[in-house]
Amino acid sequence: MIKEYNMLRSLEGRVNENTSSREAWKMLTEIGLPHKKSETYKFTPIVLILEKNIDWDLNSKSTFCDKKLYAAKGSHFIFINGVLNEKLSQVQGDISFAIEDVKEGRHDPLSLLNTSLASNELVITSGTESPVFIYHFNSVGISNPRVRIKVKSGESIQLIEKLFETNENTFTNSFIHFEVAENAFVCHSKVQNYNSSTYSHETVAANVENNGRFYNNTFSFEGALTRNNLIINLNGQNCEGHMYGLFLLDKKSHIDNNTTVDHIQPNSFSNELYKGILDEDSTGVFNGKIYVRQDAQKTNAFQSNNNILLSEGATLHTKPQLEIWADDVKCSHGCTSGQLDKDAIFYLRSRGIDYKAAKAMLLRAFAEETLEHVKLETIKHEVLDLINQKLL
Amino acid sequence: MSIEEQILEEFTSKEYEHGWSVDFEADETPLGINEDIIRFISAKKEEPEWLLRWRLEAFRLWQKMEEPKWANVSYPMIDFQAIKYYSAPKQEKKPNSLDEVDPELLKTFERLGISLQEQKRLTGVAIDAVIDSVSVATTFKDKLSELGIIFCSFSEAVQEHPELVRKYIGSVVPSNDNYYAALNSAVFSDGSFCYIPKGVRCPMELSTYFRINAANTGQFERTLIIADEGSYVSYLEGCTAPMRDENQLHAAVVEIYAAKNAEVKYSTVQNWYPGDKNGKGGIYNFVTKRGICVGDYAKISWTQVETGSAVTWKYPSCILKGDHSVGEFYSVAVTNNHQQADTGTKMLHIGKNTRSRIVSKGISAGKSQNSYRGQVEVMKRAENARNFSQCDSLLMGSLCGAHTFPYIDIKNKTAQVEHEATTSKVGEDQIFYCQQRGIDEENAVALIVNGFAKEVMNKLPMEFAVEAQKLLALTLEGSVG
Repeated sequence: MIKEYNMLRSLEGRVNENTSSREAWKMLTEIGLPHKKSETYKFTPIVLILEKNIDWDLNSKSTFCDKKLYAAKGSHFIFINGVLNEKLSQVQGDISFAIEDVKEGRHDPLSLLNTSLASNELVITSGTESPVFIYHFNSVGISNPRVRIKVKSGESIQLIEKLFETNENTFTNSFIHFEVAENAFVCHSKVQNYNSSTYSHETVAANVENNGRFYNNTFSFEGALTRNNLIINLNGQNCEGHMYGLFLLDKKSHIDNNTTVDHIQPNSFSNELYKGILDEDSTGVFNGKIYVRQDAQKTNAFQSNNNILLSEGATLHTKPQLEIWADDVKCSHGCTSGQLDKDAIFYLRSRGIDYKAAKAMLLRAFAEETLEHVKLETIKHEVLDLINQKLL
Repeated sequence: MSIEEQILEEFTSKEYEHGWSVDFEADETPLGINEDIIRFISAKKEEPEWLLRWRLEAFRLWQKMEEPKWANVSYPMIDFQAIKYYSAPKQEKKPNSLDEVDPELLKTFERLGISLQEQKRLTGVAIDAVIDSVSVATTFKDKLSELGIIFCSFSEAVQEHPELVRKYIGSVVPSNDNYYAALNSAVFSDGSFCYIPKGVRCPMELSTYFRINAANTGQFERTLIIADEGSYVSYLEGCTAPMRDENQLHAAVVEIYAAKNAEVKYSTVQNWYPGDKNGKGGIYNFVTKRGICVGDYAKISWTQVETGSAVTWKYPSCILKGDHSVGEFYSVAVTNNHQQADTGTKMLHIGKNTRSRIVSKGISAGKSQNSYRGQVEVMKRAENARNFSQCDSLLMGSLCGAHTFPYIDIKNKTAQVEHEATTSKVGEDQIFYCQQRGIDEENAVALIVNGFAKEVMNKLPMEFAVEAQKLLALTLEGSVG
């Protein structure tokens, strides 16, 4: 227990003066960071891993940002070490942004940490439909990017987020919050292809009002430790929440996808599909929660998690969780874990396709289902390329 | 009065039919728990020194443990010093046959619908009856002993077969396993013991009937079933308790040991007093049940129908250690009014080619909360492990809740694991269909619920299936509309 507070102690000096940050820090020191027995971090002992690998004082004055890594077109925001670099960012059309003081956020430990340490909050207000990109370049011990996205009634936004670690053993603790007004539409996509010394904890929270729709696509390929917290609150009626994810891991990568969808009002819908392919010594964790509150009658909620383990060293923990307090609902969840179908491989090989290609073909078909809801072709192609690269 | 009206009358007037209590003289310990109480229980049972030491060790462990809080149930803190840990109906001397048993006791069991008399021979069930803490009678002992089967109360086993008890007690559920298992290990007063020798197929159902009678007592019984190589046994357990305003604690331990090729089928119909309509009173049922398939091709099957108890906290589990061993779990858990149930199973695949199957049906009505919590774990060396889990919940009324917490942990790539869960309600169209055909709403719901639970009911031995079906209808009485 004492060890866990080392992390807090070494970060104490960096807490912002702002009242929200102070309050968040106070709350955090009271509840403490997640420890070994915390249910939500049961398979990802995040603090232990961070304490072992991260040098909190690691500081780099460089404002490194490799222009080759991203296309500087359309609206894009560049964060360097968790802070927005206005010079490199640009907006197009009627999308507007502002830099504001940090406001109160969620109350889970890592969100509180972000609220305490983030220097400010980027607020983006939706406009035209053109996609908005957010690129993170991090090279210091801990980066705390914080973004709030306001999607006005009837408008829509496509947001693509990418993170590049440019120094070893750095930790990113990001927080992005969506306010989805009535009849608004959001599609948020993340491609997580990090390197084997990248540690990140990424929280995405969305509040969806009447008739709003929220899509999240998370594609994860590599990373020493990646934890995705996705929280969708369906506050209104007739809302939709969609969560699609793929994790295709090898080496010693560790990913933990923790999703929560909360049905609060009647007639809302949620759908979730996460697929995992685990190779070498990788570990995959999936914890999907569906809450259906007492008033949320006529809710339809579906969740599915399918996994394939390819190697002796791979480990999988999955926990699909349903909590239902309303009676007139249709909810289901399913999850499977298995290996490649030997007959299918044999079928392909008997037609002259070698084992490796046959395996790749089957895995690709398995993985591609999660791409169906990605609207942006460039992202789709990028993910497909990554899948091919990993499989062949 | 027409027959239908009679049935209706019978139905609507029924609440908890086993809610009476009988006054007979009982040997009791004072309230509270300490080492002296444990010594007293042990002395009362004339136990050997090693067992007393084992109890005391468990007690010391228990004192250091904390009450678990993770289950999805809430209840006021239990005052462990306000419980009587031992209560036994006073008997002049140990009865040798049923004729010598206190007639008042026999009447008690007859009121419960369990005749200990030999006419039970017709149904072919051997019964061990446990009242409060002590086993009062075991039937068909002689017939079973011809086959070498030992079926007796736990205390008798301690006296007569100490080597078996010593070898197996705590081997499946060690006393430091959890809070209530430790408490049970310290203060358990009786229970059933069953040993099936090599290659014997037990010709009749073995059954234990538990009843809590005295007030303020906790019931802590311990069941130990040992199935030696190639043997088979089907074991039943039933329970009731009187209606009382205060909550009573029931913390039992069941251990099953299955050797090579052995098969054990364990069925429970749990009907402890669930408390009244406002959630007052009722039994806290905190039970540890676990079986281990030690040998290859062993099989353990749990079937449970849970209708009673104010709070249930119970996970019958299987450790599949032997290669090709099989674990099964079939459960129907019904909660009504203010009942809370957090129940499920744990399947631990250790051996190669092990298989497990989980079918759990939860039905919640009134203001009750019903949770399924299960874990399927495939260890590294468990090649070709196979699991199928299905948990369905049925919600009746808008004030109840259904929760599912399945944990799936896989460390072997050849494992094939499937889990699926659904939640729904009794459809209006289904009820309408029945009503159209002259079945009233109450019976229509009973029909639909029975259909929903059929898959599990089919796994119960015949005598139990009938009782269970009636219980289901009773528990859900008045929950529609």
